[in-house]
Amino acid sequence: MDLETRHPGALKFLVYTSAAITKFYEDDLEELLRFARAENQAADITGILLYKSNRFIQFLEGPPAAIDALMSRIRQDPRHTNVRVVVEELALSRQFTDWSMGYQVSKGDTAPLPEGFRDSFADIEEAPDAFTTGRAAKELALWFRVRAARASHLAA
Amino acid sequence: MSIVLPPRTEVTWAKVEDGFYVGSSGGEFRGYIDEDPSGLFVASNMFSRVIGEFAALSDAMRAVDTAHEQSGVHGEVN
Repeated sequence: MDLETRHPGALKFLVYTSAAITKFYEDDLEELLRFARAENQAADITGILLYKSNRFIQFLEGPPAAIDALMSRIRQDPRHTNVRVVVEELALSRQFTDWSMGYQVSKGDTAPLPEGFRDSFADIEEAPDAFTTGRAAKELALWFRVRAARASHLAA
Repeated sequence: MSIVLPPRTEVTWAKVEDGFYVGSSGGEFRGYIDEDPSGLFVASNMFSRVIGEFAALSDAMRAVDTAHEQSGVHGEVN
């Protein structure tokens, strides 16, 4: 018996990457998020959107049917292409409960990758195995939470 | 009396962006390092508790590793 059958209230946790058709600036992302927040809140979907070098990485979590319906619309959205689901699993609790949809724009890297280090953004897009992809997803989620906590602290 | 040394687990370090690094082993976080605006590397454990501030990234990495090893989740002494 799978998790969804044993736990009817189980959530789907999904991460996808995609390429923006045109460069998105802060204002464009704000506009995109304004629309997504309202839509996702109504569908009980939480998550985050990361943007770096014209690439989107989106974390989504919510009722499985709602996530599937949203992914169908996302795949048809002409503003991005090469939509690729890199993590798709069921979960019993949410990672992102404090916002309906937050976002973070990664500043461009200027320093070289320290010797022996992995690159989380590269791993989530290119890693050949699910273990490395999953670890990269956790690293990105942690980074988002730390940055969001810092921004919240500074705003207080 | 015998002493059983904790097994050395391979640690993976990843850069998320300039100034933010995450250490993990076996798929679990050991901690992370966040470079503050003054250039200091602030090491935190997996519960976001600050371990210390360091001038060098390598020292911050060592602090994360040491704090994790000392957290008692590995091995035992008989």
